[in-house]
Amino acid sequence: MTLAQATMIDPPVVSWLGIAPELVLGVGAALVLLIEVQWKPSRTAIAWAGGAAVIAAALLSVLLHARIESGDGISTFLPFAGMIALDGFGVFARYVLLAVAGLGLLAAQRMVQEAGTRAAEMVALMLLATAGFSLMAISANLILTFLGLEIGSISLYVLAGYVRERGNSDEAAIKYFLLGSFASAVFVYGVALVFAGTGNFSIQGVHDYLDGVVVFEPGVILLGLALLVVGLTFKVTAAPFHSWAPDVYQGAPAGVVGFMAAIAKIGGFAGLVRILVSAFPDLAGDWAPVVAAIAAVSMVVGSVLAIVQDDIRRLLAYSGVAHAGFILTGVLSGGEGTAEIWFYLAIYAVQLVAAFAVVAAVSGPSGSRSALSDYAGLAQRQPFLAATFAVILLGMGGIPLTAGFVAKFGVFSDAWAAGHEWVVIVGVLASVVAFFLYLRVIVTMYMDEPAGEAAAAPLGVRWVTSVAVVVTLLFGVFPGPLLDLAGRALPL
Amino acid sequence: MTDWYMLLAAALFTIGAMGILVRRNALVMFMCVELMLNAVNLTLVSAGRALGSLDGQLATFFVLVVAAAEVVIGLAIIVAIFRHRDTASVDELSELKG
Amino acid sequence: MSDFLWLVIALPLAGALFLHFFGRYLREPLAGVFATLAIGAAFVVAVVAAVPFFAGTGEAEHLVIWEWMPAVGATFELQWDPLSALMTLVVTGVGTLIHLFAIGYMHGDERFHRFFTYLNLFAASMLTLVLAGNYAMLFIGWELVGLCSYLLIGFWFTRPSAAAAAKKAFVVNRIGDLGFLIGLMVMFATFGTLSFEGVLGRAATELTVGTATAIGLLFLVGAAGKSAQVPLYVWLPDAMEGPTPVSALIHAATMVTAGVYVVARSSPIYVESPIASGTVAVIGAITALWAASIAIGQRDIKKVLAYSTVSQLGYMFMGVGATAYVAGVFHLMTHAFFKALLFLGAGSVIHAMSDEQDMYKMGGLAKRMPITATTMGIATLAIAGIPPLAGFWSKDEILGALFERGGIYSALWVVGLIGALMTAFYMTRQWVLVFAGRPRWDEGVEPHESPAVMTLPLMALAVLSVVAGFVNTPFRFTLEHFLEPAFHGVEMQHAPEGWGMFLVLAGLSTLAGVAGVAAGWLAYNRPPEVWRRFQEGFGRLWTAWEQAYRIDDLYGAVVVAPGRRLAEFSAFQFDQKVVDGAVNGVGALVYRLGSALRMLQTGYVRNYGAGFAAGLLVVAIWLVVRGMS
Repeated sequence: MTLAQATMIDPPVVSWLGIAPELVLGVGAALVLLIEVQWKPSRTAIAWAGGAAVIAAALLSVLLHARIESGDGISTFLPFAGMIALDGFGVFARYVLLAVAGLGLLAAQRMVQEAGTRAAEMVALMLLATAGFSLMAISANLILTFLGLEIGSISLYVLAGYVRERGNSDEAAIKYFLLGSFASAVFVYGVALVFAGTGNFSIQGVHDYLDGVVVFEPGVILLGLALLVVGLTFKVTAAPFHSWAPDVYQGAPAGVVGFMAAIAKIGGFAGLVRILVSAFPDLAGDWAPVVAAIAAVSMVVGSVLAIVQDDIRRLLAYSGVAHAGFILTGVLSGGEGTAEIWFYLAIYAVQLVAAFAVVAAVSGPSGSRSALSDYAGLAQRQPFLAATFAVILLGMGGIPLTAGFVAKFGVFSDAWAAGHEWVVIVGVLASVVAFFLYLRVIVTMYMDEPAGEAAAAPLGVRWVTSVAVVVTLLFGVFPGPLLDLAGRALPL
Repeated sequence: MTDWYMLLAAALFTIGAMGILVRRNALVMFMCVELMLNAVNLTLVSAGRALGSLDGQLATFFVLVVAAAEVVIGLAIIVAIFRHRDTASVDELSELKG
Repeated sequence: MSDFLWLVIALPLAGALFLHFFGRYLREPLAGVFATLAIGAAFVVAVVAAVPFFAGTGEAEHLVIWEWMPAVGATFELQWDPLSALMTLVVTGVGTLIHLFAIGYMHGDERFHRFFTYLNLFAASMLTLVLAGNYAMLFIGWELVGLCSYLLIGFWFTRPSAAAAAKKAFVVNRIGDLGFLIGLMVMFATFGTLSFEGVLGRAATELTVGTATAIGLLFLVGAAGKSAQVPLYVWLPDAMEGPTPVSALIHAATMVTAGVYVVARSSPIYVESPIASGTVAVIGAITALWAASIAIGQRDIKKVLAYSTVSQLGYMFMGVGATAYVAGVFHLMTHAFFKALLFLGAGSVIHAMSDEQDMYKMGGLAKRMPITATTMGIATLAIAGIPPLAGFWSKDEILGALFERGGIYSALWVVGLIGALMTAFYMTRQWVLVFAGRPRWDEGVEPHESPAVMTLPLMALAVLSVVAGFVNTPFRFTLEHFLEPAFHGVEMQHAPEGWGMFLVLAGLSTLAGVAGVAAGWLAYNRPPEVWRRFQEGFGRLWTAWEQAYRIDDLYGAVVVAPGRRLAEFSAFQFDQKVVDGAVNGVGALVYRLGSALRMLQTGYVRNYGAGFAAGLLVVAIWLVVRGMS
């Protein structure tokens, strides 16, 4: 807006329901801290308070979803002066984020118990991270995207270093913090350059600007776009911007790593898809080859590096790099692949939380090491945990009749239809390599001689793995409902 | 005129980025990140001025707030590490690798 | 209409899953009771769903349960017509009785619950096979029953012979499956679909004789493997290593009839190809005679029944090969009753004799085990084709159809008659050796009648063996009308009509049966020295029967040994150098690449930053340069 316009500013439309889930999460975080200070309740009570906030946010999301679908009581789908987008995209993102938050709290159960007086901090940080990435997913403005990204990321930096006195938690935190803020700076510089080139922060505005005119000097915009893409692909751990992920996921306390990895991926992809699909569809010819290259490199590097790992957390981190590549292939088809991306993200996020929950149960919730040899003969020591882990790994590997297969099939067929055949071929080859790495873990669990005793898995972990198994199998066999729901998760 | 401010900002950003690549002291690296954020601020302000829009100036405040939040967390992490390991060199924090 | 039909598969499957996870917490009879209830409930559901067919008002239904991935055309659909209904009723009905029997038979086994897990899993798989609405699903069921069969044959895997038998069944069935799979591919290439509706409905108009022959013969390879026909029958006798209820359920009543079912189901294809149909019938006739002769010389009580099953499956093949599909399916049904009864009876005997299976060491058991003896006697007469028991009607219908068809089929009719004679003989021989005469037991064996949980199924099956034949007599073609909707539009072979022909043909086969029974009785109801001399009188022929023509040795020399040599060659030469080399090469490449990339992961933040910046530069320069030009 110009200076002249600023004097006769319209009061922005306020939609409290539109941001109610985030408000509940933020207020919930504050309340958890206050309750802890005031009443010093049991750690279980604190965890329940956090869970209550997540459940309340989920219920509000359902309500909001119904309102958005019917259009009742919604005067604009871009309230708060166009900062927020009320759309299916944001609603579905919230569902996935809140599911991950709920499962993450369950998985972190034992860590909360061990955290002593700092249990409330941990729960509050998890709520804040969820709120941040949620803001990122519903944002219709690049500045708000940046804010959401930072709220989420800063919470995660602290979580990574949460048990600073133990193992390599502090190393993970400082690496995550330095590289993460580096990437955030890159991202926000991209925002600044896009603003300089288009005069707009709002995603719709950028889109309209590029749509309306022939851009004479697109250099600044393109540079900005490059920085935005790089900043976000860092968050989703796509290669070659992934190098922090294995170190951080290995060093950070196992109890929350699954949550950290999953929630950052969801937020990052939500931001990336929204920006590329909604703001820059006109430059798709320019960014698609870049994304294709990043996807291909991620799939290959992630799979190949995961194969040679001896630590299960590094293995999962590198396989996460490969998964980021797989999901990126869905981005290639522009807006066409949004449903498939969300399907993939939803499935993978749940599997990731559950996989790290198993790691936390086997290798201890606060430690930093989790050698693959710890898992030898797990099937004999903990048959339930081993069986569910095996199903989750098979799902990650994409065996037919698991949701992982449907997810991979979806993004690959989108990319193929969009004319990026070579990426799909690379992806299929990488899936084969990646499959062996999951098989390796399963073989270790089932074929090798047991190595020592393992403590019984906490109830929370059992629940999380059970949910992941149900999700993996149910949506592998009946993908329809979730695909339908994801099919409505389109950005405005 | 504005172009020169933009170029200065780009130079500052690059210096900051180079700092991350070559320095080993966590505190200095962190200052480099702050430098990059300030380069962003300079870009925003000068672009806003060139476009005749207040949005650029407005956004600067958000970036400042984020930078402040990062300072809080960053310094806390660095202090924690310094207490624990008696060093601020990130090169000595390289047990996680491979 | 029958929307709840999926329950038929789901109930035993749920039972299997439940027992898999919680079976170990159930005390002994409970796991068995639970499994029996699961399959019994499936039976009830099937009966309810089949009511319209009994009433004569039902029409073939095609139920799409869910479309897994419509894009790929993978659909889970069920076919509910009289044919699948009949199969379902047999599988669940006989299955329930066998489950019940197994509660008593497996008493004291330390893997009791595991046994019932497999049994329920098998039932679910078999029901998937017979209820499948397309060939893809049928094939899945086909493979699953094979897997369960493998698990159950090798149930007592600590016995080396059981493990070997399981392996043999697995390998031989793979040969058949390969044929079946290729047949499916030809079918898909021809029709572009594997659904029953798409394939069978269009077979009459779109299928050339050549393609029909190709599909028919390839399916026959698969059917011969699963239904133990010449030359792939060798696995079935060995499969008797499994617990006896398994032999009764899988290797007599249900799984082995899958081949017959597939041929009957694919009838629109087979009627298009006289060559394929004729081959089916000839293979069946050869098998019927071949296996019957081997059965004569056996001394293991279960081996007799195994070869008898092979022989009777040959009859069913003759029936469906002569396009007398109703007759073939009819015999399938009656055979399920009396052969399951025979196996269970044998199980009861083995149980009583403390795991003795050698008939030469039995004798005189009728007094100790009256119920088992009576029921097995009924089954023996039924399979021998003595009117008015079940076997008489079904076998007679097959023979009548063969006779009526004429031509080469007349020769098969003669083979069938001779086979009937032999069947009656060896079955009577078995009954007499086991139940009549003086005891020849080993010391310390104290036979006793089995508990009620075992004798009840015997009695139920005995009743069925008596009355089941009446569903389709020349006086009332109830089954024929019942099955009519399933074979709609298929031209079928029937037994000759009219009283005169019926009396002549029935008289001949009855004569064969009575002669066989009489011969068996006269030859064996005497002291052991006498019948031993009788057997020696056959000279080398008897040895050949006793040793099953040493076919296993022949296969060993002709197929297995060269095969092994080939396998060794390919394993140690080709495989190790070429295939392994390639696989290892790729593996090593991946591993080396991974190790090299690992070097980049130094652990230093500034190195990570550098990697990040390098990637950023490449992306930025590429985008800007490309965008500017």
